[in-house]
Amino acid sequence: MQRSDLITINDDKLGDILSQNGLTIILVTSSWDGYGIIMRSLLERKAVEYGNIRFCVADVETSPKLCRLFNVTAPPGLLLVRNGELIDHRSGAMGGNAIGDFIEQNS
Amino acid sequence: MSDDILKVFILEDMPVDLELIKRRVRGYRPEILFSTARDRAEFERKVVSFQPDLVLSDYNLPDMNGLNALLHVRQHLDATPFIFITGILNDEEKVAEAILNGASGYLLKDHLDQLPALLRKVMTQHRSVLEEREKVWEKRREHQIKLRKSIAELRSMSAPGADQIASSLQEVADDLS
Repeated sequence: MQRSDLITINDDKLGDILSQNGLTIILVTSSWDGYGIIMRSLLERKAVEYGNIRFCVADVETSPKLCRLFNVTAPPGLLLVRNGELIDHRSGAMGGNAIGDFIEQNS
Repeated sequence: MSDDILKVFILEDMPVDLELIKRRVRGYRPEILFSTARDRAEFERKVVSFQPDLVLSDYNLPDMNGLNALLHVRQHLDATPFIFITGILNDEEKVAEAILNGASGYLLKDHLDQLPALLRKVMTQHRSVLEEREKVWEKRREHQIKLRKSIAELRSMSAPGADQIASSLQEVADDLS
């Protein structure tokens, strides 16, 4: 199945994220976050399916400002941002169907 | 409260008013993360997990009174600044009630041009409270990360009982987050 790399972001990219007009999905995870590794793989597939959505990934340890802004205390976290507004978010592990529903409900 | 990005929660059921308020908030500071709600259910579902630096609320909503929103914030988000932005507040008793219940201020929608100045005043008054909250939050985040990293390391060990210990610690981590 086709995959598309997620855009890696950090605290320096927060201004960009907030100024984006379209939908941005952000996975907050880390290299030791087992559930996050699986979710990343699932999101890479979704990125091909939803070409009009920006899919990003941030590290929970090296992006403290981002985590504080979106209230992510532990990975994995999934955030949905549009036009400077947090539209929806989820904490904890999510499977492919749950991720699909999360995107569909908000796009 | 981060140095440059403010988190603002707006409770407002009218889309046009919502956009006007957002524009005025950006007049105070250009980089803002918003979260919004149009009714009680959405408000109660979103406001606490968003952890706003500031709440702006209409007074008269279809399914709730703005005072209920204020009390909810005071109960769950303690000293978070809370400002009423309303079309009508023509009853002095209501104004007094709002302030006695802990509102940081109020503004009529006809005077939205004054919002940036009001925000400047309110956020300055609450600066030390929000900074303290940020420190507490960061400490909690550091503890969560340390705990979950340790759990991940434990799971990667082949020592007897490691997986069971990791599962118990995972429950603790999930309860604490």
